[in-house]
Amino acid sequence: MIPLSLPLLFVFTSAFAPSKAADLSDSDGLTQAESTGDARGEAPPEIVGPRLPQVLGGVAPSYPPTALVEGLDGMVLLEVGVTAAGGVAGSRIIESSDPRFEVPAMDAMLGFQFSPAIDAEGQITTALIQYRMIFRAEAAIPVCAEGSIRDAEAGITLSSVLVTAIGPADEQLYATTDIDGSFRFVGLAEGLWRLEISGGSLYEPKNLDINVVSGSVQVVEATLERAASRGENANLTILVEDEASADEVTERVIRSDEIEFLPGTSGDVVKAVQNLPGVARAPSGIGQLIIRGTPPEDSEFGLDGAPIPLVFHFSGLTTVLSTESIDEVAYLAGSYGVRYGRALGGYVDLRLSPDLPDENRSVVSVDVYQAQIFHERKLGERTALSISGRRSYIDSVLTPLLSKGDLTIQAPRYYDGQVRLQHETRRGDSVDALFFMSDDRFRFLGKDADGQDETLAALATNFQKLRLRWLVGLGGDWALENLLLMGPEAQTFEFARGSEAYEKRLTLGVREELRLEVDEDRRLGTRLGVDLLCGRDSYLYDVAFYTEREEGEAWFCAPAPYAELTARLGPVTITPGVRGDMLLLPESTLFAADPRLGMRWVLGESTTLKVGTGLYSQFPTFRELNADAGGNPDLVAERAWQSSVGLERQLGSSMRAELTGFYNDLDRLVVGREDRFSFFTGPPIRRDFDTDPYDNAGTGRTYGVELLLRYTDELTVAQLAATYSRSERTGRDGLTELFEYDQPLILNLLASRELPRSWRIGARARYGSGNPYTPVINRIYNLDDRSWLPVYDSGEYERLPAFFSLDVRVDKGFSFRRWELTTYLDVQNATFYKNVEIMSYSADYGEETPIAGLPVVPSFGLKGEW
Amino acid sequence: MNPRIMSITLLTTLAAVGCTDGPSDDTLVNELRVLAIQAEPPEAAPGQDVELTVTITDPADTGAEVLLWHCTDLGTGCLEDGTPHTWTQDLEGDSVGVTATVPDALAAFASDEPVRATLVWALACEPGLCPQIDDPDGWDLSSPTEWLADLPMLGVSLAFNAMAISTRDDGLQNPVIERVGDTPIEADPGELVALDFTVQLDIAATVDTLAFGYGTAGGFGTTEYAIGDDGEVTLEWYAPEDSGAATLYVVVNDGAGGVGVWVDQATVR
Repeated sequence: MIPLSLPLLFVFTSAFAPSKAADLSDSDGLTQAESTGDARGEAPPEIVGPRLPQVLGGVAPSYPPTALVEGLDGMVLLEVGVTAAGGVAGSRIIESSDPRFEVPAMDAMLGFQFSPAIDAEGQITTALIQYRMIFRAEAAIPVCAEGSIRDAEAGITLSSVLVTAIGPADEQLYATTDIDGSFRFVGLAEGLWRLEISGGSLYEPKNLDINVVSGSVQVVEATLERAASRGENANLTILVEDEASADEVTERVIRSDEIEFLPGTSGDVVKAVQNLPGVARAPSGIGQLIIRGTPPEDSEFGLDGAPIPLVFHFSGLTTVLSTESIDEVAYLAGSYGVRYGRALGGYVDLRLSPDLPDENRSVVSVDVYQAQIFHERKLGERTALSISGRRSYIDSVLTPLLSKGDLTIQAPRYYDGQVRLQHETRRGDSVDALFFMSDDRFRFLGKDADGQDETLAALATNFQKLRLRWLVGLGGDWALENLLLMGPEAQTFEFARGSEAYEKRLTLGVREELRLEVDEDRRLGTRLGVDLLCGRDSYLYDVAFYTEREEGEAWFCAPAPYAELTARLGPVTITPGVRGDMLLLPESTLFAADPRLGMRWVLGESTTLKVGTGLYSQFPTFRELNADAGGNPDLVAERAWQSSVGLERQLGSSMRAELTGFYNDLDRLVVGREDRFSFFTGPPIRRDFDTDPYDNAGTGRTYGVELLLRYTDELTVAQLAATYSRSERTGRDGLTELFEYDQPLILNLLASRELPRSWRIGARARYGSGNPYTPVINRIYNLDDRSWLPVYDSGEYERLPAFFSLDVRVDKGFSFRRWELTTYLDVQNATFYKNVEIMSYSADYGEETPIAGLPVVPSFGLKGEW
Repeated sequence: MNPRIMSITLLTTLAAVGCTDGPSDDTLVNELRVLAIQAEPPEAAPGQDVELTVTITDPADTGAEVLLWHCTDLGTGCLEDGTPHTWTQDLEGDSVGVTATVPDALAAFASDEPVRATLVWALACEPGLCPQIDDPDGWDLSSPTEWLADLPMLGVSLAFNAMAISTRDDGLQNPVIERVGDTPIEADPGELVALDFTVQLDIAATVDTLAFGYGTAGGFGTTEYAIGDDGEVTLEWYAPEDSGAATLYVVVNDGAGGVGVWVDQATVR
């Protein structure tokens, strides 16, 4: 806020248009008025009416940066309500030469001060006037200092922070940070200025000195330390939640800085998704997400909306991307918008920050399983480079322990790496190039007749991807996203006696999206885009004893245009949209149209109703369509009509509750050819195989209720996630069965608290219903090949024992002059509970043998950061 | 084996099971079980008589009732229906035998190329467990899985193999397995005993020509042994830790329907 005594350098013209001030309009000139009345209602004796308000002082509006760069002049005609005290009651836009000038003009008008209007009787009155603001680029006050203020620990931006600029002549100017934590000072005299940043009751104040030089802008990026005396800063925490709040109806966003210390996640931001409602537990060691009763292959993982082949290394221990690179993870359980598609289930979107890092940073961490490094550095003001890499070494420890005699079991080993180059243009556009790769392997080795190592069985997955992304601000808050993601991916399987299998894909993904976000001042927004995925699929299955040789290869292309409108009608925001998906193959062309609708209704200060419904389509795989190899080219897309209703309520200042009900109706599911070899997608089929040709004859439904209670304050994070659901499938034969990972009840309770002297403790308790399985009740001996054929109790099922795990974590931080060290001990299943992962049988099915997961998974780690 | 469990097996089971020295548990037969069904000849023509011999283990010596039948089901039930094709017997010793006649109805698809569409089934039950023994005609013998689900697993054994039907004169003959030497099989507890056999095959040995060893105590080193081109094979039997008697069985499958069976007693000192 610039003091009114500062001379105004903008040129204002006045265009008075008397309207409601009827007395004034009826006056034919100024007349002398005598009045000795109450000073509140009467003008001072020296003032005679009628008289329109006069400008006494005002705030110079900020010049829109893009307009300033273009050298564009501007004009805004405002209708202004002036109070009896001469202040501004409000204003509205009558006309403008460019919409970019409107918000700055209205913002500036709020700081204007007028002399009050005087009516014909000499009484002070309110008035409605028109005021024209003219912006001249050549006369614009240059920005002298600008910047942003953040929480030093959490890194979040801080709004409403008072910044006082004290000049060389002790003049004082004031500014407060905006919602995005930014502030700006204009028209400062040259010389040394001191910026005093007030911390309020929550932060330590900070002073910074800047040297203002004509023609240059001093950029200030300040961080505030939290005050030693802890007070109630729940509001800050809530603000964090708001910043991470979602656009989608059921989108939950997890920030990387929120989960670093959560027990059971080893600091992996994507694993934190497993603590949320709607996520069922996958068997130990299998890095999969089971979302709202759908198999892992029905959910998608993306990197800023571009599909990536997998998100976990197949040990399930860690994500394929460095957590240091990930800014936040969006978990969309269902009923999401048209930006995402090609999935019947949920979507997990890993998001990298488009912003340049504030400073150079390096992180090295080692634990029992792996070591990783991360380094990011600024290359000038607008460019940054980051590099990260990880390599597991648990195989070095486990391999000697597991191996016996001639059999060597090479425990899972994995590595991944990323290189990212970011650049911010002068216009503020964000450009970045990212290369990332991942490689996992697991092998059994024996000895051949010559005593040489021979692969008995091996599994491997790997991918290499290049991503280019360019975010363009088009002005007027329009934004254009250009994204390209390409590279190969493969999973391979080797078996003794020359058997092998692989699935390989080479992809090129492109996204072009134009969007206009809805905000406090804009009621209409839109999103228009094309999500294109093209490439080549190839597969080979040549595994003795399991299947006949099968192979195929084809180019494909899947364009998906989409459009979405967002309308804010008072407390209600409605988002209808439609997405059209196509799949083009040499022998098949498939099309699916997915209409979707989302709604948010703010019922009160702390309650929001969220509703979402729509169609979600997923195409069959190339193998299922390949007519040359037992496929069915007449298959159509599988469909899920998803619906959800949720209520979100803030309970006090620290707690938030969400209750969501969902119902998903599935149809046109592809069934058949269950006798074919396939890579792992689920537990063994416990009934007669459906060996008929592929057909869209399957249906299903999933439904349930999810509850999320979250408590956060400065020291403590606590969360309860509960899901009660049911998931069914009906096959070609009309028989309805439970989904193979149906877990009716899932509970996750976690808490983490910061203690004095940089200690932190946390615990997580998990409970989940056991997966259903159909027991073997008898068997038939095939004497020709000496194999046993199980006989299942058709129509009946049992459940594996319920899952329970208590995970605990202890952290201790050390701060040194130039670096920080964090040590932690994270123990999963600290009570050594024996959790049955799968029911196995002896070769003759005479004995049922439960196979349990690892009894305990300890991890001790060190993390150094500077 | 379910192909979908391939990855599960690798990731969860094999790491736990691994490969160990010592007997394979799958070769220990400690319950009532049909071990082999031998048709003599294994390839026959419509109207021809075939001797069916079923080898059954009964380690607990509880006795067993056996239902034997053959069925050629081309999708409409057994073609043998209406002709004698079921037999019931009580187990005596370790085998039961019947004489069956290949139905003339099978002449419809018989040619000089052997067709293995006729399944020979054997159901062995502890006395009183299986109502099918008393009333074979009252059950759908072409779909045994439907009524097998109602029978207990312990004390019941159902097995099948396929015999070949053809009209050629020089049909397949069963392999003949003989042990090299005739010294009694004796071993110390836990001792590894190598048993040498010669196998006379009617056809050239292929990868599917295998010998399977079973024992009522102890066990063999692996579930299957390949028979060399010279017709020789050595099986390794691990004597149990407890002294006593054991019955050893070796079954040879030539991969074309021919079956050879060897049975003998072993003593653990």
